[in-house]
Amino acid sequence: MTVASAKTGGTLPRWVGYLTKPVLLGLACLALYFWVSGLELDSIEQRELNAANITQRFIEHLELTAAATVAVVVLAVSAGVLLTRPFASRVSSVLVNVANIGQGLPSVGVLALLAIFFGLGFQYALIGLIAYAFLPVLRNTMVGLRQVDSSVIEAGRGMGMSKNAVLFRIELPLAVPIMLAGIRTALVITIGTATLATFIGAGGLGALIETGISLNRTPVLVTGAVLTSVLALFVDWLAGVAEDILRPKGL
Amino acid sequence: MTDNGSRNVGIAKDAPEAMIRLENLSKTFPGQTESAVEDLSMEIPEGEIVVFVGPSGCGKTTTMKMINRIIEPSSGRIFLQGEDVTKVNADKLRRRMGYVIQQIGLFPHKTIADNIATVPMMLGWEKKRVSDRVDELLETVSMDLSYRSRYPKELSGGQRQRIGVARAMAADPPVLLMDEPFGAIDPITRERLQNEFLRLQAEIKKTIVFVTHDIDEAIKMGDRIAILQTKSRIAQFDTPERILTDPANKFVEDFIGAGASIKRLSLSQVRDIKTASWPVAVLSEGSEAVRELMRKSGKDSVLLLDDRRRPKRWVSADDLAHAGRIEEAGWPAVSIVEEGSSLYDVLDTMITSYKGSAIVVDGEGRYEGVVDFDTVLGAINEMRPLEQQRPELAEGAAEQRDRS
Amino acid sequence: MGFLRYLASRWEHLLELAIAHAGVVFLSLLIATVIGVTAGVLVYRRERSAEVVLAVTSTFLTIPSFALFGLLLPVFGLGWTPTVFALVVYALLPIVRNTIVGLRSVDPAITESAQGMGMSRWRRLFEIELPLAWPVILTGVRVSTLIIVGIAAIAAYVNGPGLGEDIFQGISRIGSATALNLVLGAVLAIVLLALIFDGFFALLGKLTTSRGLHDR
Repeated sequence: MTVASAKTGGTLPRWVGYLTKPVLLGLACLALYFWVSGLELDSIEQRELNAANITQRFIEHLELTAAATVAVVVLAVSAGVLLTRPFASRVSSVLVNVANIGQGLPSVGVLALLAIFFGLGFQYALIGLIAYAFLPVLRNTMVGLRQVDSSVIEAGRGMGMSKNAVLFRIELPLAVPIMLAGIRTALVITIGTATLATFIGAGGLGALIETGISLNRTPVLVTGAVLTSVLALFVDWLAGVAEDILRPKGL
Repeated sequence: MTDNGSRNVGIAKDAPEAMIRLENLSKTFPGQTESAVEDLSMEIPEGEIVVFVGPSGCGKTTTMKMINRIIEPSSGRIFLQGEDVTKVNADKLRRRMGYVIQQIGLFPHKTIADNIATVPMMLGWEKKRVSDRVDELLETVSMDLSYRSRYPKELSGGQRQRIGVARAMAADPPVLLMDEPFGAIDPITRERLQNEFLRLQAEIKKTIVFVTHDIDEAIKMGDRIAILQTKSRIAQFDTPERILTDPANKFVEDFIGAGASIKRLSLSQVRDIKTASWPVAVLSEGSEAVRELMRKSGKDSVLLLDDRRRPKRWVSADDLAHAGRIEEAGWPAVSIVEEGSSLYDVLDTMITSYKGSAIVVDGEGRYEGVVDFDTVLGAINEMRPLEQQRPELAEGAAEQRDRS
Repeated sequence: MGFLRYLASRWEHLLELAIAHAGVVFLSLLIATVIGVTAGVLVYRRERSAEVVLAVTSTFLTIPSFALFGLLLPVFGLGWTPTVFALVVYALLPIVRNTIVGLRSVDPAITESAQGMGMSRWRRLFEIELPLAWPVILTGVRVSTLIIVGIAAIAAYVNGPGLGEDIFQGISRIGSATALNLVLGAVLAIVLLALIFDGFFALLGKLTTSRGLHDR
């Protein structure tokens, strides 16, 4: 977001800066389209690179991402709130450390294990995506709640606010920026992991990439890779705009 | 005095050779329409402490920082020991000057010894010489040699400031620049540091440019004071004496504030006046010896010292008769001033003392003598020659001030 | 066969893969640290340039790793080269960001007193600013390490080195008995590698940070 606004300088309205990224992404898609349509595609490529197939992959990817992100946000934010309450203080620092190390888990490994234990398909891929994005969002929520200035909380309690009131009216609003950053991270991570969902039969844009690599068809590969990247960057941009809009004024 | 008129010039009369000369210095910061410093010319005499003092925003710090070109002047020239240093390599120039700032800026990741050794190492001194110098400086700033291997975070504010000064003097530069060096310290430690610094300067006689916003500190520390108005316009550049007795304009008067005349007492130190002596005895001599001493002296009380000759308690004959141990007889001696303290401080202490007197001690805290109101009054009278001998002159001067 | 027996019989193979995995991670970290710290040093004083650099590196991190590997394939082919390239790209953001944050957080009073003593720009950077920013920079390297240890597993799909090989083998054999052993063995080895790397950097941090900076 800051790049966009920095690039526009002083004379243009701020919202113009926000448009830089989506415009670039749109141009990339356009370039891809023109390049592909100018090629001679063989039968395999044609099967992969038609509107119907691409759209289906897109939808699969989005479904996975949306479902997983909603689930992760609900679960991880709740867990984050609970774990930052005083009664959980001893457990929470251990958990933050675990959450940090957990980032080293290979996403493809987690997915593979789930497939082995449970089976292939959408629902198991979903579990994998949730599991993988859980720790980062949890950590961000905990960090965000912890860094709320304790003197602000004390002031709230001193004015007679109940613990719940303090939580909902002071802590959570002040932690929103960091939580939003965590949600944004979750989205990006999930889109990335969902790319691998193809390996356990859940489809998604990763299927294009996989086919392109295994069958050695560069157009398919490039299309899949570019579309996936564009999707990830677009969603990230969208989340960034939301972050800016939803940030409480005065922070 | 000051040659003001329309030019902004500060030249000291009857002063030694100028160590630093500033010629038409100006500074306008980019993006600002008003200049921060305008056409300042000044000579800073060798071996003196020149204090820049003025209200916030008058440009005093900016001016000082132009001397070592931390802030580069927009126009004008700087001369160090007669050499034009306006355009020379700035890093090399700064190694010839010591620089002490308010927040000190000790390097937290280096030991105290390494901190002090910074400039000598840069200048290529050999290790033994550097190490000896570090020890020498630690002693100079009254810190134990064991601090060599400690880290800044282990030191108190006052200790850090001492190390800051030691570090600035490490390569023995002829010039020291100090920007509110005692500003961030508590008043008690600050006074002690000021006294120690003045003692030090009496020995080493460096040329020092000292910036402060506190007129009392300026009066205490400065050999010469430059009172600056906005854009560093010199209101008066003179000795503290002359500024206090003869302020150049209303700005200076207002800046000195009420009690200018009393402030002149800050200029005399206790060591300058004759202290009286009082019967003293060492605690360990025992009550008999003390009683004997009291009888012989004819005074109604005796001052008790410890084995290092530091004043501890006052005892009267009555106390001796009734008390058990001599250590608990009488009352503790608290009205104590160092010989470097000003008469102002002494009066302040005496007003709250029990007997209307103060005990004078040396730098180690050892007994030197006592002063009372009479002694101080005598000293004050000696300071009023102008008013005493020519009352019309004194009245005339006051009238002139009211008019301007 | 049981997992433990599997481990016993195939541990040499796992070790070989683990060493390759560690090797490619370490090499990429080294390159990323050099590039990242240099970039951070160059831009930390300029607001605009810093923003551009941070935006570009964070864009890299947003691109799904599988997609990036796919894009690099036509350019670099298979094997070590695309792997190292991709890992370096992913490791850049935390390092650059932490270098910038770390350098900017040095107390201005310290740099001013250093400047006032006549320290040249280079000296100030290497003797004062970088040592003081070092703990923060090292944290950035640690974070990057954890990120790319996991991503390196995906590289196996483009014939990159490392434990990912076993994971993909296991995937291709889902349903058979060996799949679990293959995947589990590789995943555990990767987690272990992550722990070892993290411990290594924690130790490095303790050893290379001046005592004067500890426990703030």
